[in-house]
Amino acid sequence: MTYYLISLLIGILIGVIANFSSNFNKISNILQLFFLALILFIMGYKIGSKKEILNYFGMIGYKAFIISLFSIMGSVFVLYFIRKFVFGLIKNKRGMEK
Amino acid sequence: MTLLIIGFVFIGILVGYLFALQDIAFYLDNIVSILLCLILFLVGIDIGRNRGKIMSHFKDIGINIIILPLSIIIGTFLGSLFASFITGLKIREALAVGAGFGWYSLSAIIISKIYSYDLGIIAFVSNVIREVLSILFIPFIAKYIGKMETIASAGATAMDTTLPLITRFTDSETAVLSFITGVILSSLVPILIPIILSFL
Repeated sequence: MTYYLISLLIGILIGVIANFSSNFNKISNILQLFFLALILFIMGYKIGSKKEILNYFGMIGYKAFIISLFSIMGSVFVLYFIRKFVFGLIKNKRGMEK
Repeated sequence: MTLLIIGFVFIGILVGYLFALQDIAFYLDNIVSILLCLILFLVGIDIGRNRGKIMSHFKDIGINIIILPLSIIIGTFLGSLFASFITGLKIREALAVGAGFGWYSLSAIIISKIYSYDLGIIAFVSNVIREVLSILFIPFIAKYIGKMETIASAGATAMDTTLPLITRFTDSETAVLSFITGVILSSLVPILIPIILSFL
């Protein structure tokens, strides 16, 4: 957690100070994609290698799946609803100010 | 792109299932942490370079810092409440599992310690599934629903494991919000779970 924050802050600092060529975006994107692919592979590997997790899936996986699926749907729906409602108001106010 | 992501996860699961080595788990965790640091470093550079654009939207970010975690908490609890009726779990059990927000290691440990081992396992699997489902959903949510909603799906994982994905499918502003929201939700996990299990 601390390391993540430090990495992010050092990155921001370098991004503010240094002048990158226009090629940087391309290289940064490719690198991020490469690291991401590795992380996803390792995460998959960890799930696959823990056979007990896969065994649990049959017994309690259904309950676990239902909770996570509805938690995600609830979160996305509530945020979408609030954002549409609240931000609709904000946009109108700004429009009137202008 | 989405196929690539799903592909890598499934190849990983397959390789892990077929050729599991017991001793490398520790190294893998470290490798993932290093890779995340590298990605966050690159995301940081993007943020630093686009600071003008981000600062001009700072007002929106300010509002979202409250709206995002609050909506995710309310939405997760509503979803878990609904799930408790379907699964037959007690309301407080389902809510406690949901309150992991995807942080499977901590939520499982807390629930095993203060409630029951069985619910701890459900919390572990459920929050792993939240992370995996988010990885699968984020590209679609970003395309069809909205950028911010990718963070809602990710929950506490929005600060680390799903952050690179959210960055890829949205923009630097959403990445900043994602990190902050993830930190807020993560810090609430050890507070909310005991409250739910002892008072509900």
